Amino acid sequence: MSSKEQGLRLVLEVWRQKGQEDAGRFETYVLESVSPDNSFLEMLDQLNEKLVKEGQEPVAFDHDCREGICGACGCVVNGQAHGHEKGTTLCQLHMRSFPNGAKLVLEPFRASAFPVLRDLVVDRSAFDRIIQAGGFVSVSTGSAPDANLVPVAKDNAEKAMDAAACIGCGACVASCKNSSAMLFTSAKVSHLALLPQGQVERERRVSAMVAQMDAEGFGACTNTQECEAACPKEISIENIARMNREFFKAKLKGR
Amino acid sequence: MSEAAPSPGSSARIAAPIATPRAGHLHAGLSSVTKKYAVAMSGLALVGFLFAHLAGNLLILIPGAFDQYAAALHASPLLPLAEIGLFAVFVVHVALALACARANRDAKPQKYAVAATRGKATLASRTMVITGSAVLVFVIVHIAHMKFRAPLFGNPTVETGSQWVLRTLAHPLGALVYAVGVCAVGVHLSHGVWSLFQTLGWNSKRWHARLTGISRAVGALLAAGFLLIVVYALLRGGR
Repeated sequence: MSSKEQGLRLVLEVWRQKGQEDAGRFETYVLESVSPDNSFLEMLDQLNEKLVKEGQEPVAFDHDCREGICGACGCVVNGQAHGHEKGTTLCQLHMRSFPNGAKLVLEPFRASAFPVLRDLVVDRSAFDRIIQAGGFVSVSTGSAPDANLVPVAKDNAEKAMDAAACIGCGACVASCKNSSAMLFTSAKVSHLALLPQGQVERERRVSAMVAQMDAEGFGACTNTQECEAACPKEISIENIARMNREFFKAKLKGR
Repeated sequence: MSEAAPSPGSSARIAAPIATPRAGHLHAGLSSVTKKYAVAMSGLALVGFLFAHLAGNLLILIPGAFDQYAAALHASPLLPLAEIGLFAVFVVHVALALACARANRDAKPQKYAVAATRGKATLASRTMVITGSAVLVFVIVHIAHMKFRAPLFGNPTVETGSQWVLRTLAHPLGALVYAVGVCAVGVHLSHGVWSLFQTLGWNSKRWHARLTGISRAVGALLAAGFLLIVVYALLRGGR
């Protein structure tokens, strides 16, 4: 029988860590007959079923929507956040992307600002606090206006929409050698800086969000562009340039 | 991810910082973006200086011109001021780049077991601290040797500045140190130039490819220009 009928045989080296205090280590598991149509998370479900049957602890991993829009899932597969495919979350990565007999090394996102909670689960609440610092509009902008009453240039609308596509998964931080959160923060800053609703708090927002980003212990960008390449939503580093611009303008105004 | 956006009419206002469980603050004092800004601005000034420096140095290819230029430069009362300014810019660039590098190292305490990139990072972009440190060491040797005339590469008895330069660069160790030094500058700038524009916010999707191209060209041009002087000295045998 071909491997397609039998399914894939995978050698998984998975990071196992009981909690934040545990040092953690790799464990090797062999998984047989994995359907090439399975998503990566379904493959992990299959692994966990096997582990539970054998009386072992299942591998903890984050997941929610499993359709690539929530930003909950993600781990590092063979050194790449969300695996090797472009513009894909882990849940949308399918096992057909891997050859039979593939050896996969699974690690959690690594950053001092993302402490490992258990196995492949990391604490990404630092991102929530960056949003809490200013990633919202708190001034009254009135009720919903009639369509096109407030003109927004097509170009700005597109750029704001592209920035707003960020699902906050943390792949940018994971793939950055400095664990910098500048792609995430800049996407959130850009999204609101480009739209009329964001104007009132524009300067305060960028100052507060950058301050929070620093306080969380993320590194500084060295423009290697790995974040953009790893981002499942393909957020452009153009946003980082915009955030730096916004930050400079805010500081000039003393905000 | 849940976003803590306040409901309409709530009293939430933008005001950092939110309490964080993180113990350390990697960017104490200046914010990361401010530090990067200062590194970029000082880097831009240093690139400008390098072009002027190369233009002056290339005069060595014209007999007599270099010494004339050096004499005119040293006769200027503004030279000490310019030197102090250049030194200050250099110190800002190195100190803040190293401060960022330290924070960056602390932000990624554990590397991945499998090292992989998406092919966007380049050798130059990943080794800015290494090439930068090499340039720092080179500049210290260069200043000690050219400005303070430390006899590091042979001990030639010379009368003019151009003789000192040419004989040093014809010395095997001198040629090697200068060649390696200017190549480190070239590699550093092949990433540094576009990177500084990005950091200053002077970049967009439209300009990105142009800027990365310009960056490589500037790095190659400056390295080639300085290497030309080394090759010239070697060909002339130091005379």
